[in-house]
Parts: sequence; structure tokens; C-alpha cells
Amino acid sequence: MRILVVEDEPLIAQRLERLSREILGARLDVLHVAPTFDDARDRLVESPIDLLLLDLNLNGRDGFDLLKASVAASFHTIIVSANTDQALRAFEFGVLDFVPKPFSRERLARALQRATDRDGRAGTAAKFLAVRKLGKVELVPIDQLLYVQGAGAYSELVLENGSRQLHDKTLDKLHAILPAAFERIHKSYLLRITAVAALHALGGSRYEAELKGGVRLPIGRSRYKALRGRLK
Amino acid sequence: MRFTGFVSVLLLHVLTALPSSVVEARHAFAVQGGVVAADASEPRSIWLDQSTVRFRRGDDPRWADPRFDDSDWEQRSVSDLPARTGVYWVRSTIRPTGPDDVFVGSAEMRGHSLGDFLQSQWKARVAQDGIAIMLTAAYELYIDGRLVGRNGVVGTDREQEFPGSVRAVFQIPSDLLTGEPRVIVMRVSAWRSGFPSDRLDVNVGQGNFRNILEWQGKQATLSLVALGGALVMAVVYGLVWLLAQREPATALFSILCVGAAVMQAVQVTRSFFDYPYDWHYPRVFAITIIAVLLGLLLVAFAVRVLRAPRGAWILLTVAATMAIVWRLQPNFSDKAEGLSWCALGFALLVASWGARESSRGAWFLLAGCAIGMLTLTFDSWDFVEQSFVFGFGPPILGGLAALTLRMRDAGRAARQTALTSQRLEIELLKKNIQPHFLLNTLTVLIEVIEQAPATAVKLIEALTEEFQILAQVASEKLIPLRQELDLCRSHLRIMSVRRGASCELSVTGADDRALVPPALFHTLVENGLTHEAGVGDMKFVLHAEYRPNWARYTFTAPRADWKMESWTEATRAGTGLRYVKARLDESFPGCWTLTAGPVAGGWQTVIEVRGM
Repeated sequence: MRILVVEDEPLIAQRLERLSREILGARLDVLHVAPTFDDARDRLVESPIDLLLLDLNLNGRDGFDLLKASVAASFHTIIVSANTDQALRAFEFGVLDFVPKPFSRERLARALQRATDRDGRAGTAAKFLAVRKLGKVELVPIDQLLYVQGAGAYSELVLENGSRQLHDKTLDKLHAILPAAFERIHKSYLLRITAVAALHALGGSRYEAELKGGVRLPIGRSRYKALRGRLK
Repeated sequence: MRFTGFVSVLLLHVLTALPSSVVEARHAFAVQGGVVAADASEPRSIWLDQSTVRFRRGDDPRWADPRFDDSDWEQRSVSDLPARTGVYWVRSTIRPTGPDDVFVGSAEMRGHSLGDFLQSQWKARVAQDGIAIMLTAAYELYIDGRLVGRNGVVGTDREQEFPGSVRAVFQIPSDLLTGEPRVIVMRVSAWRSGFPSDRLDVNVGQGNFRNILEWQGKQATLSLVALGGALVMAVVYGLVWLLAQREPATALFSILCVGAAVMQAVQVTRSFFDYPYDWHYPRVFAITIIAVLLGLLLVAFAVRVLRAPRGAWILLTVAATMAIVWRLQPNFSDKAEGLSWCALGFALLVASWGARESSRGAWFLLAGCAIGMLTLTFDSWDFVEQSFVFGFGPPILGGLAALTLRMRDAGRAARQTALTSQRLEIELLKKNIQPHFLLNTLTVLIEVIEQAPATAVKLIEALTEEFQILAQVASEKLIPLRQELDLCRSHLRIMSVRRGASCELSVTGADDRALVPPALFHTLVENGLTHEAGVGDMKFVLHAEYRPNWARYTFTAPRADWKMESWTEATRAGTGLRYVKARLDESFPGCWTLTAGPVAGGWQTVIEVRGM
């Protein structure tokens, strides 16, 4: 796990670093601290990370622009902030967790666990997915999302109207922040369950899900049973 | 002393007789002959300003005889009769008519227009058997040789004379009411006329005897109503001034109303006390003096209620102009009218200035003065008897409106101030619990407790001190500078621990006992800390300068690097500076300035306060 902490108060940054090291132990590969967003941006360009711990109120500025840029990236974002009234809004944008200040070791551990667990999920599901487009960040409403197709280091979001968007996060990471309605039906597909019209068993351990529009997506062999159970 | 013109007649009719006159006019049109009109009607003046009468000094009873030849007598104007010079006789002619005759004046009855309707009142089909005389003298009245009445006792010298009334009404014997011309003769002496001028003018009016008496009774109505109204207002605003709000304008208004009531009372005396004519001059003089005082009061009130500058100079100018007018007008009625016009004019000027400066209520006062001046100009009422109400009534009402508006504004401002103070107190208390400050500090505190307990204690001590001071000062509007600086320093101690670097405030020139609004500099310190990125020591500088009734505070917050967006953010002020400005306005309204801008290596805020 490679972590970047963006926090301007040195003692709080120190706490985050200290506790993270204690909690993760050997699972922590790299942890850096950046006191300003510009420093953070520079760091991100240099070396990729898996998790960002972000304070929303850097230098008294409203951090939501920072937040939108952050959730559009490939790494998970956990907010550590004193302003708890912004928690719900932050979750809607797709953060993994919102840790209010002051925080105990246990609370931070719970947040980090969402990132380290395979099945870790966000505290509250997102309502938008932030997508980077031409230097700006666009918000895609999740209720328009039909399914997600993995494409290596990226994911392709397929909307109900047929348009496609590229997202920097992997399927695993997207799975963590999408609502429970989205099921990992295949190594390369995340599907909204309610969009399934019919399931087809094609023989030879090949299964397909037919969507209401006629599109057919493959279903992983190991996941077929669970999916069928869920659809009943 | 003159009787009224057409417009005034119209007005008086409207006020006292409109309902009945509408009815009666229809009667007058519809019924031929024998109608006794029930309305009060003013006697019609038969000797106008330009009239002349036959005049002779001396005393001979044969001069009452209608057949006496007075063709060699002097023709004198009715406004040129002598006073204090002995007995003299005056002769002229009148045409009294009985009830069935229609007196045809300069115009015949034609059509049914409004003019005709009103004119018909002049030619009332009632007996023209009343003579109303206004003359400050003692006299005997003969009509066609018959002694119709006396007013006082004519005397050959001062001691012999017994003064009569100023106004007297006589009834012409009914057998003389045939419409033929009759000789009217007066034997006059005027030893006790107190007026400085030695000329008298006489006014004789003819009408229906009963109606004239009724009309005289009703004349006091307007003055009585105005007297009542003025007294009520005087009492109301006197109480307001005494108990509610010690505004000089309110006191002046109350006194003005008292003066108006006194003026009305003096005017009303004529209707209720039939005083001998030697009291007429003192009465008229008193009325004129009261008019002067009321005029000055009105101007003083206008100055005060509209907050005009140089009030004393204005009043002096008014007084001087009034003195000139007094000298220029020999006739007392004209004097009083001119003086009032003068006062109204100055009040109008003050109100115009007020309107230009958008002073609250100026337009009402302006309108009132303008209306007052117009009525004074256009009516030809005897000022000392009637015009006062119409001349001074509108400006007083205008002044009332202005005063009320100001009281309303004062009430609103007071409520607003109270609300603002409460809001500021709340904002100040909220500083304690703002998440950015408190929760971040507690997070640091947890870390410090776990890592460096000794520092934790210091941090808690600094927090305690800040909380204590904020709690103490929250409900104050001004606190000693020393306490404010303690607050800043405890805040900086906390921030030093949080930032891991030293944050200090260096103060020069400060007077510990100078009074400043609470959290004035604390807010600037917070702003400086929030906007400054990066680590490292921070040194804040406060420099104070004092002069009598004036103070300047120069506060500099350090900034390591300057970026354009940081500057525009800072100049947009935000909540912090809004609080500072509101506090300055609360305690030093209109007497403070705040400027902020970049200086070498920092952001400087300069606050100047006057009149502490």
C-alpha cells in the first residue's frame, strides 16, 4: 500500500503517519506527507499511490475542488476532516471513508481496512463518479450507469444511453465505492443487477447475462451461482 | 381690517354651512319670495377699500337729519378716519331691503351654474336689515335721522368717552326696509384708540340681522377646533418628550403647539368676550408678538428636526428679516401676515435644504410650509382673526409628519443595533467552537498527549485561557487592549503547538487601557494564520499610535510567498473582516476606517478610530 497524506498541520500529519504505520505494519510500502495541494500534485506526478488521506480544509480553502480531482484518480480517497457536515456530500462523490477529527487509532484502522480488505466497501455508496475529461472533472450520475467494463488499468463506464466514459480506477476500486446494486459478474465486468433481463447458460461453463437492451455480457463461472441466487 | 373676498367666502361656506346651503340654494331657486334662509351668512361689505364717505369734524345734532345738505363736506376714504382728535360725523347711503325684494347687484340671476348658485346667497331673499360695523371707536348710528343704536358713549374728550365694542351689529327698523336709499350717519369719537397710527378704518357690512349674529357665533368654530387640536398635540408630545425620548425636536414641537393653542385662544377671545375697543390694540399687538415667536419656533423646529447646520445663524437672520418687515408694514394685520410669511419662507428654505440632503421628513415639512405660504398669499382674510390656522396649520402638520418619521427611524435603528450586538456576541462565542479551530486543536492534543505529555499540559492551559477570555468578553462592546492582546497571545500559543513552530505577536506603542472591540485583533491573527501556508516561525506585528480622541493600529501578518489568488481571496475579506467592521461600526459609528493591503513580506491592516 502506497499512501499519500495531504495535511497542513504538522502534528496531525505526524499522527496520521504514525498511526498508519502502526496499523498497517509491513503492508505499508510507502507513506509521504504533503502539506499543500500543489506539493501533493507534484508527488502524484512523480509516483503513483493506492490511497490518499486528504484534509478538506487546507489553508482555509474549501477542499471540494481538490476532492473532485482526487476521486477521479486511480487511487482511493479517505477524507480526514474537522468539518463533519460535509461528510455526506463527500461520500456522494465517491470517497472510501470520512474520518472526523479528532480520531482515535481504532477509527483510523477501520477506515484503512476498507482500503486493504478485498471486499472493503465505502461507508456510504457514491452517487456520482468523477471522470477526468480534457483537464476538467465531470460528474457522471451513478443512476445512469448500466455496467462497467474493465480495460487494464482503466475502467470503461457504460451508461444507459449507450455512451461510454473512461475512469482511472480499476474495477476493484470502483466496486468498493459503487452501491450494492452493482455486482462483480466477471473478472472484467461490474453490472447493475436490476438491468438483467435474463440469464443464459450456454454450456461449456459459459454463461451470459442479457440486459434489457439486448446487450449480452459474460458471467464468470464462479460467480454464476451467486448471481442467480441474488436475482431470485 | 377688511372683510373677505370670494375665495374666503367659499372656504368658510364649505366649513360651516355647506350641507344647509345646498338645501337652501335649491329653495332659493325653487321658491319665489318669502324664504327665510336658515344658514348663517356673512355680512356683505358695502364700503370697500376705495369707498369714500362724507366727513366733517365737529358736533351738531342737525347733521343726523337725512335732508341735511352735506354736499360741501369733505370726501374721505373709509380707511382714513382720524383717531384721538375729537368728535366727527360721517354720512353715506345704504339700501336696506325687506324679505320679498330681490336686491339686484352687479349681475342678474341667470342660469343655474355654480357661480349663480353662490351668488344667490348674496342676494338672499331675506331681509337685509342688519348692519355690522367694525370700528375701534365710540359712535352713534342714525339711519334716516333715527338713532338706531350706540356703541359706547361718544365723548368730547378722553374722560367723557366710554369705549364701545370693536364689532357691533344693529338692526334697521322694519319700516325702513323698502329698498329705497337711506342716509346712514355716524357720530364718532375715538379717544382711546391705542394703535400708533392716527388713522382708523371702518368696515360696514349689510346682511340679515339674525344671520349675521349666527355667523358671528360660528366664526369661533375653526379657532376652537384648532385650539383643541393644538392643545392635544402639545400635551401628547410634551409627554413623549418627558417620558419617552428627550429629543430637542420633540420639545420644540410641543412648545410650538402650545404657542399655536395660545394664539388660537387669543383669537377666540373676540367671539367670547365682547371687549371694549381700547383692548383691541393690545390684543392685536399680542397676536403679532405671538406670531413672531411662533415663526421663530417653527424655524427652530425645522432646523432641529432636519438637523440643519448653523441653526443659530439662521434664527438670527430670520429675526433680522422680521425686524425689517415690522418696520415696513404700518398696518398690524399686514405686519402679522408679513412676519408669518417671512417665518414660513425661512422654514421652507430650511426644508428645501433638508430635501436636497435627503433628510428624513423634509418633504412633508416643505409641503406644509408651501401650502401655508400659498394660503397666506391668496386669501385676504384678516390675518389676526383667521388666517393663522391656514397659514401655520399645514407646516405644523408637516412638522408632525417629519417628527414621526424620525421617531420611527430612531426606533428601527435602536432595534437594529440591539440585533447587531446580539449577532456579534454570538459570532464571537462561536469562535470557540468553530470546527477548524477546535477539532483540529483537539486532534493535535490527542497526539501530543500520546507523544509529549508536558506539551499537552501547556496546550490545555493555552486553550483554557483563550476560552476564559472569550467567555468574559463576549457580551462587551469594548474591552481594554491588554485583554485583547492576552487573547491574541493565548491563541498564538495554541497555534505554535499545532504548527510546531513559534508564532508570536510583537506590540509597540500600545496603551493597555485603550478600549477596543473584543476579538478585533484576534480575528486578524486568525486570518493571518489561516491564509499563510507552509511551516516556520510566524511573527505578527501590532503598532499603535495615539493622539487626543484618535488612535491608529497597524497590524501586519507575515506572508512567506505571494500568489495572486491568495491576495484576491484575502481582499474578498470573508467572514472575519465582516465581524471586525461590524464591531467597529457598533462602537464607533461613522468614525472608523479600515484599509488592508500587501507590504513587504506581509499583509497589513490599518485601523483608525476617532472620537473615543
